[in-house]
Amino acid sequence: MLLNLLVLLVPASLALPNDIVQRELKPVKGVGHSRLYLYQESFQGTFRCLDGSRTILFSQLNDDYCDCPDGSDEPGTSACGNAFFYCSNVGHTGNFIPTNRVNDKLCDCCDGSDEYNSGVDCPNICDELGRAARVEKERVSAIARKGFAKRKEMARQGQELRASKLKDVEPLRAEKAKLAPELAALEEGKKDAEQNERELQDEHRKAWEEDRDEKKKVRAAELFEEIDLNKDGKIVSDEMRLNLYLDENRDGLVSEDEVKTYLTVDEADSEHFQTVMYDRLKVAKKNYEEDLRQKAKEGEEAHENVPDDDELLAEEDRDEDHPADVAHHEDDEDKMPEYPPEVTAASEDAREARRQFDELNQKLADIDAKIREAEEFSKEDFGEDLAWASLKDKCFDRNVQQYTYEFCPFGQNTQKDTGAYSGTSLGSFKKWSGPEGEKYTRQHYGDGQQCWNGPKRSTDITIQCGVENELVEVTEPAKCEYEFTFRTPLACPDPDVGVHEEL
Amino acid sequence: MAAGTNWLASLLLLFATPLAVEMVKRDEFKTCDQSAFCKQHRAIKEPTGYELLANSISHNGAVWTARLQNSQNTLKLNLVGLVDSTVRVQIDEPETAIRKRYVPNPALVAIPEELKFSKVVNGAQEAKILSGDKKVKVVVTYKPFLISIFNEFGELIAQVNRDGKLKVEEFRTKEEGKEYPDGFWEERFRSFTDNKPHGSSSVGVDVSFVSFKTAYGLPEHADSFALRNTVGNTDPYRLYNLDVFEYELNNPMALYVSIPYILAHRANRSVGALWFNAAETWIDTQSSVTSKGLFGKVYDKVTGGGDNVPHFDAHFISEAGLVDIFFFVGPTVKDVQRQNAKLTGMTPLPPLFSIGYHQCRWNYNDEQDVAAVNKGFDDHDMPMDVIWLDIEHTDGKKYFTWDKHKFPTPNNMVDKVAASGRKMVTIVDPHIKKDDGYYVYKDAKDKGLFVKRTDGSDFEGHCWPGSSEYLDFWHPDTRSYWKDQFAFDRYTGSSQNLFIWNDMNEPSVFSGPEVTMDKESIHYGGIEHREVHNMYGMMYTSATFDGIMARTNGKDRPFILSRAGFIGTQRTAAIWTGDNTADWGHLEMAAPMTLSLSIAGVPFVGADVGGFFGNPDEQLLSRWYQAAAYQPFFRGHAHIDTRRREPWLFSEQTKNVIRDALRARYALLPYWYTLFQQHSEDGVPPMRPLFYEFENDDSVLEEQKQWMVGSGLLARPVVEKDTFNVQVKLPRGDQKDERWFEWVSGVEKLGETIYVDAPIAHTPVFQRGGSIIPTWQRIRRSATLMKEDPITLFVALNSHGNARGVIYLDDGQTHDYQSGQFVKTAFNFTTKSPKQAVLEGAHFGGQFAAKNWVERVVVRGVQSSPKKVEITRVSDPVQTLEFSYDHDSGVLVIRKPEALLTLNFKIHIEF
Repeated sequence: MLLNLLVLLVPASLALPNDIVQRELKPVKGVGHSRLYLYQESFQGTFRCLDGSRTILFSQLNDDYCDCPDGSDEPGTSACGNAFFYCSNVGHTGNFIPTNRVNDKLCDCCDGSDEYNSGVDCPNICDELGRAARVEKERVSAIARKGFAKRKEMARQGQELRASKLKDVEPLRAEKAKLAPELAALEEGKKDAEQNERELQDEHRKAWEEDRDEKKKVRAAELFEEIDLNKDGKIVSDEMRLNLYLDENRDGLVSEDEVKTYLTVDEADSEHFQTVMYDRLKVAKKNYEEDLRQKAKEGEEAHENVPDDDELLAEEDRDEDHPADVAHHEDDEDKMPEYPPEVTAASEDAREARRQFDELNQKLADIDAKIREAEEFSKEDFGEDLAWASLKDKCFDRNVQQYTYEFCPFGQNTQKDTGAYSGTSLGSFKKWSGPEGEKYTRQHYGDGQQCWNGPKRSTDITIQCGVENELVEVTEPAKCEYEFTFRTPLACPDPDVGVHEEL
Repeated sequence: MAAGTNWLASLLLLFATPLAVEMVKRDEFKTCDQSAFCKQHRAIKEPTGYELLANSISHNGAVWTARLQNSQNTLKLNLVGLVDSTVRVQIDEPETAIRKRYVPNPALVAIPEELKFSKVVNGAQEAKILSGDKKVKVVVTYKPFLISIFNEFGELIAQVNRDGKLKVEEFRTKEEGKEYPDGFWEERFRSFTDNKPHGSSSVGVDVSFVSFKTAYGLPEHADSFALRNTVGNTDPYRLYNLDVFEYELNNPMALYVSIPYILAHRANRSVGALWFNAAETWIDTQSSVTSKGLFGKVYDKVTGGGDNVPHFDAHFISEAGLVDIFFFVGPTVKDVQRQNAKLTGMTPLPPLFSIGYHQCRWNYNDEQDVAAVNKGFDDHDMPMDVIWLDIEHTDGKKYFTWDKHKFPTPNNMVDKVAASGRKMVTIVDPHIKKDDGYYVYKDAKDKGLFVKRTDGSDFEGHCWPGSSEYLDFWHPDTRSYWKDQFAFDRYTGSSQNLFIWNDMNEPSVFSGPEVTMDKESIHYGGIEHREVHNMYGMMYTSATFDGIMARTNGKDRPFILSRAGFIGTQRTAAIWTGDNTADWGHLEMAAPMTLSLSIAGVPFVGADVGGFFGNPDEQLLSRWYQAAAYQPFFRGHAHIDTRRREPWLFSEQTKNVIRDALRARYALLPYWYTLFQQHSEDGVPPMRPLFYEFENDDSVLEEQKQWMVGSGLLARPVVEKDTFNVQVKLPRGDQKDERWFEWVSGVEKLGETIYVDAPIAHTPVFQRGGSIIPTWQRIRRSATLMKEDPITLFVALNSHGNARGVIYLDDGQTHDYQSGQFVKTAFNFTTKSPKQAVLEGAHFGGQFAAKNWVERVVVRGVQSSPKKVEITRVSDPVQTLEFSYDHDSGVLVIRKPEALLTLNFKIHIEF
């Protein structure tokens, strides 16, 4: 980060041919060879701040006092807050450190050059570090080479996979186009069959309803006759009171009030009787009869002190039979008779039409899903060489103490407690989230299971070059925010493309 | 905490702790009405009718004694003269008492130094007593009993019992058949029963600060700096150390710290009163105005305009202990502060790293996490001094142990952090996990070091580890055992670079009444917890302090942070304001809370930067860093449920704002360090209310958004959301000639009330004319790495063209300064004539071979460009110095005087 800043500080246009400069340049503390030409004494014995803002005496360069606003006059001391010291680190790699680390008693440069005046003796360990770094570099590049070979293979697989998915799309579309009219025809047939079925059923029902109403009318007339003792075609309270089944409170008498619950007019003609009173009277009558039966049963039980089992059984049988008869009778009146064969046949036709339609419809839906999947697959960002496509629908896990973590590229990550039946979602793929220029070094997974007292779980994946696909580290820096480190050949750079050398 | 355990953890937490809801659970804590003794005392309307028995008076040197009597009982009054204009008023049961009442003596530095009264006249109606230094007069009126205290100008400044609220319930033995008031022997609250085997033993009395309208103190409350009227408005201020979950702002509910101290101030006069009592205490306060007659026969000594006299009244009510009040008679606010400090102590000079920036989180997960955070500050070039580890670093919340998976090599980890010049802090709480396999538990159990129940068994309660027991720090064996636990070979993973955080020391007991210990619990010597509750945290941190001292045989300075506190806490610990919340109200409240602690004698104070609970947005976090950079204790901290908030995780802008705030703090470290050193001598806190510096200015009495850092800097950070322009009051002083300069630009600001732009990157801070502020401008990775760096002096001229300042430096770490290994240098800028000014540096103390030299002098408020600047160092020849002068800002920069702090120098400026 700091290094990037530095690059900006060096005006490229000032660069001079190396051979000329190098012969004449005097060393300046904290300044590397490549920038030394910027720090040479002018003929007037001055130094110009690199931002051009001031000109100071050359003796004031690196004199442990900050004169230039850009800090450029003190590359070798800690006097300026915004300057950088160059460690040449011969034997290893040169690097810049902020000058606030110069002479702070901590060894920052491997050559110890940053602590020239702090009383701390920093040994030069550059050779040692350089050797180690070269070994490390070789190790890393060996991994990168192996990894890159695999990556090429995976890229090929990914491209093939994508191609095959895309290849399938056209035939699927064609089949879909072919099947679409068939589906329409089947739908039409289904509609007709269903229509026919409905009509026949309606007809049957209507006939039955008419019949039922007629029967009811007859029964109502019968009951009307029964109550209308004086046969004047009108039922009045006194006539009602003679019907014991209206004795709601079962006190043996039908009171005026009890009658009033049924007879709400002074006198009821047969029309009123049929529409308003009949149904309720029917119920009252039924209940009354039920009560009578119950009482009769209790009477028998009381009478016979020790009924034997057979008798009890017989009684039960009777009890069951009797109400069933009544129910049957009632059902006859309220239940529609079964459909005749011609209606059942129509239903069968409709069912078959539906089945055919559903079958084809499902087939088309499957085709649609496949098309959609292929399209989504082709839209998914699998990296420049499509190598990541080969990891879609694959998962990689890692055990950390009692947990198993699962990383499913482009899918959903989970955490599972050992022995637990199901896992906790740590988020599903949202995006590539690497910084600019390094987009494919990080992925973000979000909208996982909500945390108690916290956010929805999420995972950030750091992707590193490795020979195998491997989830190598799992951490939870903040509650329910996970960090995975995933090693994969897919992150291995092409060893033939020169690595950008640092300054 | 891992996902799979969350549901379980949540359930446990819901069950066992006050965690879980949005706001403080008010009904978990008592109101005055729910506290039998508070209710009873608050209800006193008629005077309790005590009179002093003239024939009982006796006097011996510094102690004047008499009996008080009313229809209820007889009491013993002791009036004690102490050095430095301090008077103690003590009212106790007479010698016939069946039990000794507790006096919290460990809170004091030492037994108070007495000073014989210089004159005592025991008259027929009243006694007149003159202090040994003849600066304080006390008049005791016999009937009704009244004490009046006068300062050296003969002004009546305080009265005791003018409203006749004196009440002392003596210890009793229960008599069968006798009727007692409600809650006298037993009191219930929620599911808890509190038995009082000696009966209700409360005390209370009214104290009036006469001719004062405004008073401060009684920390800790999340409330305004100036005390409010609680009478007729709210519950009294409550002081009872409690672990309050997500505390609310602007109310008198108790918090973690209890310091029953009030400072009353008016133009050029101050008085302080310390209610010396460690039991639960309530204080009913009221500022009012009354006609002079009210003040008794002494009214003619009452100062103040006309017939109407303002007075600030405080009715102190405690559940146990004595009526025991120290009056610090001043007369100025800094005198009062010193008088209090002499008695209760000062914060010893803290190690340099501890006034830098602290990075904390519940929790840094493992050693890799710690290393990454440490590196993060370096990668982003932000200074930081300490990385903290909260409770999760332990093996099952067993303090002094480490989670073996996450922290397998603690020594190595601490060493690595220390290799960047930094330190670490681990948490050690007073609840000890009940686990026979845990050596601390086992030892303490075997030695009998735990607080006991009334039946003699060990008290048990729930805290972080689950079932826990609590160490009894009144037991001398506990104190010595605890001290030993910090030995490097005892505490695995500890080293010179590891320091200690004492939390949950109210004590917090999740399963206890009001989340604390049952009052009937028993401490060493038969002391009831109710008698000492408020000092548990202080007793704990002082034992830890002894341990940290002992581990280097007293060589290095300890650093301990504590949540709970009491009188005297400042001697051993810094205090933070506990579990605050990431909202603007809490940011704004940090200043009144830290000011309140500061004036009450606890100067090393701060609030969690960013807010403990919740996630601050970038603006809030930016503003919080800016404000906290100017508060004494500077630590970022966050709850385990919050998102990570290390400064580099935010936008470039926020990152830069935070880096600038950190750098602003580190630049001022020499100034802060010098202020802390001065505090350790005179008790004056580094962070001060404006009235400390502008004692005669009535308009700043209520000020709590701006404060002084030392006498030279005025800070008014932005603590309001979406606010980019703030009003600042720049006091102009008695002579109306104070000058003020913008701290960063050096531009002079005119006008008493000004409006300044405060874009997100700017913190309004001003340097006072007449001050010289030493800074470090080479901001390195940590304070320790900067301690030998050169100094840049900021000289702000007053209206006479003069300025003064001091710097104190030493090795930043050891106690060697106590044997002279320090450097003190005074800077004195004098304008001798329109043609000539001189800046003198005078090394006036210590023999420390400090390497620091003055690299730059920035003079503000200079009228014209000098012709010549020269320096003479001791006997060296005169040397000319380069300089630059900016006409627009009036700022003169003198280049590289190269003057060592240890040698005298003179810089001559010729105009």
